[in-house]
Amino acid sequence: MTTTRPGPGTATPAADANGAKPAPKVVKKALGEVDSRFGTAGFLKRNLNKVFPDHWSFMLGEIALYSFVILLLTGTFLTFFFRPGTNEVIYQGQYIPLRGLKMTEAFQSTLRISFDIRGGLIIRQIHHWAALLFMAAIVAHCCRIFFTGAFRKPRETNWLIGVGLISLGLLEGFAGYSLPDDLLSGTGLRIAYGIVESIPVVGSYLGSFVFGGQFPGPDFIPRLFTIHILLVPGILLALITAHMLIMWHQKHTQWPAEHRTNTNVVGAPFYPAFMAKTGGFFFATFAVTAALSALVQINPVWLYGPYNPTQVGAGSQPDFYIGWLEGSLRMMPNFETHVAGHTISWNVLIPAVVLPGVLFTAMALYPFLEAWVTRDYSAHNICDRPRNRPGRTALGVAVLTELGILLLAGGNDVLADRFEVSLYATTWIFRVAFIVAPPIAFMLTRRICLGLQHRDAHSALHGYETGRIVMLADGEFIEVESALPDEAVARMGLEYRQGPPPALEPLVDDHGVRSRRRHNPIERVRGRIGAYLYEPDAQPHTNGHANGHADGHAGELTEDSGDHELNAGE
Amino acid sequence: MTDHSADNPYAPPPEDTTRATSAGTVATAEAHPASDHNPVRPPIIERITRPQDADPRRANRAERAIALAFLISAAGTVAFIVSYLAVPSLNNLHDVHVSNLLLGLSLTVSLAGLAFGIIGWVKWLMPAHELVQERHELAAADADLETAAQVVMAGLEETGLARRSLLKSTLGLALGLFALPAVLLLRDLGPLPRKTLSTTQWKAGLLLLNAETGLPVRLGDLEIGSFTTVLPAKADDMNEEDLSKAPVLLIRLEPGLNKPAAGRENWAYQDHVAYSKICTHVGCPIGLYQKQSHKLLCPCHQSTFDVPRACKVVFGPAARALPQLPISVNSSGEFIATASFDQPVGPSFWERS
Amino acid sequence: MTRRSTTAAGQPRRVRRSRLRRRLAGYAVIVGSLAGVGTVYSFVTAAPGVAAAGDPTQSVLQGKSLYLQGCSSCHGLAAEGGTDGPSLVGVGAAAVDFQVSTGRMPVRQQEAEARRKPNSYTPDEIANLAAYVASLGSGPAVPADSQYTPGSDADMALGGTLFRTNCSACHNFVGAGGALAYGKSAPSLSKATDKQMYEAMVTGPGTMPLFGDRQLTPDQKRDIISYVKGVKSTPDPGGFNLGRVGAVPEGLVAWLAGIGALALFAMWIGARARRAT
Repeated sequence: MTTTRPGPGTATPAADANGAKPAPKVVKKALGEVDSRFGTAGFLKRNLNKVFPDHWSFMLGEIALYSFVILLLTGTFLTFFFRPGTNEVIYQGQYIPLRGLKMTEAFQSTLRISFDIRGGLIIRQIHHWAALLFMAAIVAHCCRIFFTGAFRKPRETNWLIGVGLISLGLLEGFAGYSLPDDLLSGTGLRIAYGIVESIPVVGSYLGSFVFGGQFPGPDFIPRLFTIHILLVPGILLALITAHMLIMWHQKHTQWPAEHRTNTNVVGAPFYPAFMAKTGGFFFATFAVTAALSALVQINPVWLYGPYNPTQVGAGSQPDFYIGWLEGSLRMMPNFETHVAGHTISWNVLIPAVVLPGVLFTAMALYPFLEAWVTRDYSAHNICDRPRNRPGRTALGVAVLTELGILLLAGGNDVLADRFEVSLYATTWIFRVAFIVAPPIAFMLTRRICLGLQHRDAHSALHGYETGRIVMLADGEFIEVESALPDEAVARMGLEYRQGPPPALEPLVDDHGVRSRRRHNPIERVRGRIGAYLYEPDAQPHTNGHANGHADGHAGELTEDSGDHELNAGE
Repeated sequence: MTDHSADNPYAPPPEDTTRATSAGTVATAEAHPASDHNPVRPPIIERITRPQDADPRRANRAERAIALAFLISAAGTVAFIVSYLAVPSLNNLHDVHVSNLLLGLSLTVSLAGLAFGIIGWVKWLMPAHELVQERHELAAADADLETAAQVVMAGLEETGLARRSLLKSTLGLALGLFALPAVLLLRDLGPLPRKTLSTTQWKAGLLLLNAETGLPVRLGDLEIGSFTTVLPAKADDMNEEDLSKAPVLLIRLEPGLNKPAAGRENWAYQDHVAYSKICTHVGCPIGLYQKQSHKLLCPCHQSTFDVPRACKVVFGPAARALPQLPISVNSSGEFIATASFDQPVGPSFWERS
Repeated sequence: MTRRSTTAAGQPRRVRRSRLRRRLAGYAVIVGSLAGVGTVYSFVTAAPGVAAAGDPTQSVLQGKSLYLQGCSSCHGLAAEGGTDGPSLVGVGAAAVDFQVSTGRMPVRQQEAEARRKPNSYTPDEIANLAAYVASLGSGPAVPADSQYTPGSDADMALGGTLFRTNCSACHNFVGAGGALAYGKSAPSLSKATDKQMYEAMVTGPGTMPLFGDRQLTPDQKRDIISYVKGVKSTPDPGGFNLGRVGAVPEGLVAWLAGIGALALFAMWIGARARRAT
C-alpha cells in the first residue's frame, strides 16, 4: 500500500513493511548506536508517539515545573556570590543610607549581588519572582486537579506527591527569603522561633536544636542555606521527577468530549507537537518572569535594613504563600492555659501548628475519603467538570474561601491603612468571616453547580433558543429551538454527573436480620455525608436525552441540525 | 474492583460506540483511513484542516511570521550582550537601575520571541489532527498477578522468615536500633535550653543605657509622652541572643496616670515605667507607642498592651501582659534597674508557669 | 425704526426713561458706596500677616485675630480648650507651625485623627498664629534652619538605625506609613519637609510620642531627617516599587500579572484550531 505525504513538492518513494517511508540511513545508524547500548528503540517507538490531550488548564503544572527550572538556574548563579555568614562586617558599598553600618556577611553579600555585580540584581529578582510564580502555579494546579477529580484512582500517589511538593515549596521559599538576613525576614524567623517554642513538652528543645541555641543563634543562616540549596531542592527534584514519570506512565486525563472515553487519549503526539508546545511555554514562563523582574522591584532588602532584634517595621508581611499562616496568627483570640506549672499557648499552637497540620493532612487523605464516601473505587481518566460534582466543588470553594480570608487577614494592617478602615474592625471582620463565609460559600457554590447542571441537561434535551418565533395553525406562538450539535453535548459530560447515592443494603433484610454494616455508626456517618453531597434528581448514566421530561413538549417544534437526531419527549 | 459494577454509579460508563458523530462515522479507535496518514503514527480521530493547510501561501506567510519572531529573539539576545558590556561597572544606583531594566527587557524580548515563534510553529504549521491512542489497562491479567504473588511467596519461603521467628525478631531489633544513633547524632545541634529562656541580662543595679548611643538615660531626658529603648549594656558588647531578650521600653506617662499592680508600687519612678519590648505573642519587638491612648501596639499581629495598667493585653492574640522591669534612679540621676524581670520575657513556652 | 411717544402700556416714554435712569443711578450709588467703604476699610485695617519687621507684639496681635477667626470655635476664645479641641496653652510655636503648615489644622471635620491636606494659611499668617500661641505659655519654639536642615556631616546610616528603632514600627521601614489602633494611622513621610519632620519629633502631634532634645539630640534628629530624605530620593533599581509596602502588593502582582499572563498564553496555545472554510 502506498502512502502519499502532504506538502508541495515531496516525492513519494516506495514504502516499507510498515507502510511508511523508510528512514534515512544516518538516522537509523545514530539510533542504533544508542539502542545497542541501552535498548532504547522500543522505548522511543512507543513514547515518541505518546498522545497528550490539549487544554490550557493542563499547563498550570508546567508553569510550576518551568519556574522550578528557572529557580535552579538563577539560584546556582546566586550561590557563586552569596555568603551565608552571620559574622559582622561593616558595609562600605555604594548604598549610602547603609554605609558604615554593621551588618552580617549574608546581608552584605546580598547588597553586593544587587548593586555591584552586573546582572546580579536582575538574576536575584528573577529568582524571587520565579519563587512566587512557582508557589502560585502550584496552588492553581492543585485547584485544577482537585476540581476536576484528577486525584482519583489511579492517581492518588501523584496527589500525595503533590501535597509533599506544596509543603516543601513553602519551606523552601521561607528559607530562601530569610537568607539575606534583613529586618523583614529576620522578624519572620523570630516569629518562627516563637511558634516552635509554643509546642508543648518539646518546644523549647526543638527551638534550641533547630536554631542552634537561643534565637537567633550563630548557625541559623548557614543551616537555612544548606536546607535551601541542598536538602530541599534535592527532595523536590526527586519528587518532581517521580511526579512526571507517574503522569507519563499513567497518561494524562482529558475533558469529556467527542471521541474521548475513559480508555483512550485524544490529542497531539509528544514528538514533535507536544514537545514544541511545552518548550514554547517554558520560554513564555521565563519571559513573563524576566519581564516582571525588569519592571517591578521585589524584596528590596536595602530598604528594610539589616536584621536587628530590637527593631521592627510596620507592615511586616511574609511572602503570600506564608501569608495565610500570618493571617491565622493575627486573627486567633488569645487563649492560653496555665496548668500545673506549664503553659499551653493555644493562641500560637492552633493557628500556626494545628491549622496547617490539619489542612495538609486533610488534603493528603482527601482522595481516599472521597472514594470511601462515594463508594467509588474504579479508575477515572476523564476530568470532571466542576459543575458535575457539586459536593466536591462546593467543598473546594469553601476551603479556598477560608484560605483567602486568612490571606487577606495576613495583610490586615496594609488593608486598614490603604482603605482607611479601623484596624481592629478588620480583625473582627475577618474573625467573623472565618466562621461564617465558608458555609455560605459552600451552599452558594453547590446551588450554582446544580443550576448549571440543570441548564446543561435542559440544553441537551431541548436545544437552544434560536430567537425565531413561529405561529402555529391554532394561533399559538412558540419559539423554535435548535438541537445542540453532538459535539457540544459530548463536552457537557452529562454521563459523568454526580448521581444519587448507590443502593445500600436494607436496614433489615428479608429474613428479619439487621444489617451489621448499616447500623455501624461510621457507616451511618458515611451515608449521611454522601446523602448531602449527592444530587437526588440527576441520573448518572444517561446521555442527557432521557430525563423524564416527556410531558408538555409534545407540541414543540424542534429543528434538527445536520444528521443529528433529537426526539422530543424521548 | 470491577469497573462497571451495577451498584457503582460513579464508574465511567461503558464505551458508547453507537453514538453518532458529526462525520457520520463510528467513533472507535481503529485506524482512520486517509491518504496522508503515516501508519507509524497513532491513528487520526479527527482531521483538522486549517487555512494554512488548505492554502500553501498562508503556510508560507505563517513561516515568515515565525521566522520574524525568531529574529526578534536573536536581536533581544544581542541586545542583552550589548547591555551587559555597555555598563562596565556599576557606580551608583541609577546605573544599577538602567542595567537591570536593559538586561531584563532584552532578556524578555529574546525569550518572548522564542515563545511566540515556537508556539506559532506548532499552531500553524505542524499538523493539528487529533490523534487517538488506547490506554492500556494498568492492572495486569489475573494470571500474571497470581504469578507475581506466587513469586513473592516463593521468595519469602526461601528466606524462611515465616518459620524462624527468632531470626525475624532479632533482625527487627538490629535494624530498628539504627534509628537511635541517627537521632542521637542530632543531639549537639544545639545546647539544652535549661534556664536560658527564663532569664535575661538584666540584674539589680544595671544602668538603663540608650540602645543606640549606649549612654545612660537620666531623669528629665524623657518628656511626658516620650518613650525610648534601653539595654543593660552597650549593644556592641552584647551578643545577638541577649539582644533578642533584653530590650526594654522606658515610657514617661502623664502624672498620676500609672495604676501599678499590687506589689509593684515602687517599680515605677515618677511616672516612668519600664516594660519588656519583646511581645509575649511570638517575640516581635514592639516599638509602637500610641501616646494619646497610652497603648503599646505590636506591629506584627496587633497585640495591644495598656501601659498604665501594667501592660495587660486589651486586644490581639497575645495572652500575657508584658513583663515589667522595676526601675529607680541612682544618686547621679541615672535610671537603673532595681531587680531583674520577675518572669520570662517573650513568647510563652511549655516550662513557663 | 420709528419711535413712538408712548409705550405699549400707554405710559409716556419719557417718564419710563427717567424711572430707568433713577433705578440705574440707585444701583450706581450702592455699588459706589460699597466700593468706597471697602477701599477705605482696606486702607484702615492692616493686611493680614504683614507684621512690621522686628515688631513681635504686632505679630502676636495679628495672630490673635487670626486665631479668633479660625481656631477659637474648637479651641476656645482664650485657647483654653473645649470639647472639640485641646488647650493650646503651653503647646508652643513649633506645634502650631507643624499643624497648620501641613494643613491638619483647621480640621475639615471631627474624625479619629486630623490628616494632612493643602494648608489654608500663608507662611506669614502661620508665623503670626505661632507667635500668638507661643505667647500663651512656653513650649517648643519653631526650629531654625540650621537645626532642621541636615548638614554634609549628617550620618545617614546612623539616622537609619535610629529610624528603625524609634520610627519604623509606626511609619514603616522607609516612612511609607502604617495603620494604628483606634482609627488612627501613622502617615507617609513622602510630603513632609525637613522642618515638619523636626517639629513632629519635638512636639509629638496627635498620638505620636515626643522625642525631646535630651532624648534624641538635634544631631540625631538631623541624622534621621537625612535618612528619610536620602531614602526618599534613592532610585528604585529594581523597577516600579509598588509603594515600598512589602510583600502584599508583590503577591498580588505575581498572581494577577504573572499567572494571569501565563494563563492567557496557555489559552492561546490550547485554543481550537481555526478551520479552513
